[in-house]
Amino acid sequence: MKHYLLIISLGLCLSCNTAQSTAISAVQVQEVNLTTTDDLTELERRTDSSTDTTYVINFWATWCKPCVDEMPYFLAFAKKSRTAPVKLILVSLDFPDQADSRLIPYLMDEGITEEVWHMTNMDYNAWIDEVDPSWEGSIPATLVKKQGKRHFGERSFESIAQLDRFVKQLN
Amino acid sequence: MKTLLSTVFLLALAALTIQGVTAPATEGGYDIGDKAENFTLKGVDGNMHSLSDYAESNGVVIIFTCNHCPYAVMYEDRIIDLHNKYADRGFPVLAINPNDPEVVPGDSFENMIKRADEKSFPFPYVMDEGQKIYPKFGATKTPHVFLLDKEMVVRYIGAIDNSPRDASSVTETYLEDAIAAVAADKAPSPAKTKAIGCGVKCSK
Repeated sequence: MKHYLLIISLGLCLSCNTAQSTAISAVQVQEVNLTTTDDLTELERRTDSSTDTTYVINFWATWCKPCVDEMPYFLAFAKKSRTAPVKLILVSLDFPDQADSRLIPYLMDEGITEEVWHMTNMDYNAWIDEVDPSWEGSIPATLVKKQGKRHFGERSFESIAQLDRFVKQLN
Repeated sequence: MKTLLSTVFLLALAALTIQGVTAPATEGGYDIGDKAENFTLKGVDGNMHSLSDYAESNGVVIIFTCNHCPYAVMYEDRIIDLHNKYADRGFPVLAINPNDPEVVPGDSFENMIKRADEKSFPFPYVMDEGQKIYPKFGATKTPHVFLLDKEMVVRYIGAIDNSPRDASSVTETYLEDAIAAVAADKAPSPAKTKAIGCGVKCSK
């Protein structure tokens, strides 16, 4: 398990247009929430909740263009649902040796503070069916879970509305 | 009798409506045992290539691949090795690019020629112009393998091996085992395997 706490910027601003010489310092702390694993059992267990939280689990990778293109919709959807119990979990299938060179920089650049799992098990045939037997393996793909129900889609989304409709299909 | 008929009718109607609002990404396509239809596609060598060209082979290794997808690129050398090893034994490789160059300029015909040149592909590399062939196969990502036998019947579908990133970590040579099985007139086992890859409409 790895967590990264990063201080990305320390801003110091001196107010210039008044007599005041108050220094306003802004400290931005960005927490990249990343767990590296070679097994999704723990993630499945944690999302087998009896609460009314809807888990939206997106399978993606930084090298997959449609995955990256639809990321804003997922992030906006999760933020929109701060009041309703929706939890976004991003499962990255980036190559194990590209965590530092690609995955983490991407998460930092995009300011992604959502929970990210880096699935490094490349013996795909061994675990793809457990996510969903209909999954052929292409990404992006999204699994929605709530109170024991599952809804899986091997597809991309082109709007928040599309994602919203997809998530509603679980009910 | 009337009640039975209406019940059956209602059940059928219910089944159809429950089918689901969103169609899955891949519907249809060949399954193990299906006979592949002939097709003719243009290759980077300037010639047209047909499935019927392989009538005298023991089989054909059809691989849907592309110029840019990291997974496809990682397998290029292994695909070249496979062709070099099995073409003489009657199982040549035929590589097909299913992507739409309008959507992915990287997969244009010109770039296919470039790539084939750079890597000196020993096998034909053809373009699925109009994107009509890949849906018939049901190819969903790159790379995606369909091993056909002498009769053009699909005998194995899926991954080349179980270690895309690193050839030295391969412990399951799915495709080679399948070729060996078909050559010995046996059923490949597993006949279908799965792997992560860039969706064919990856470009969208």
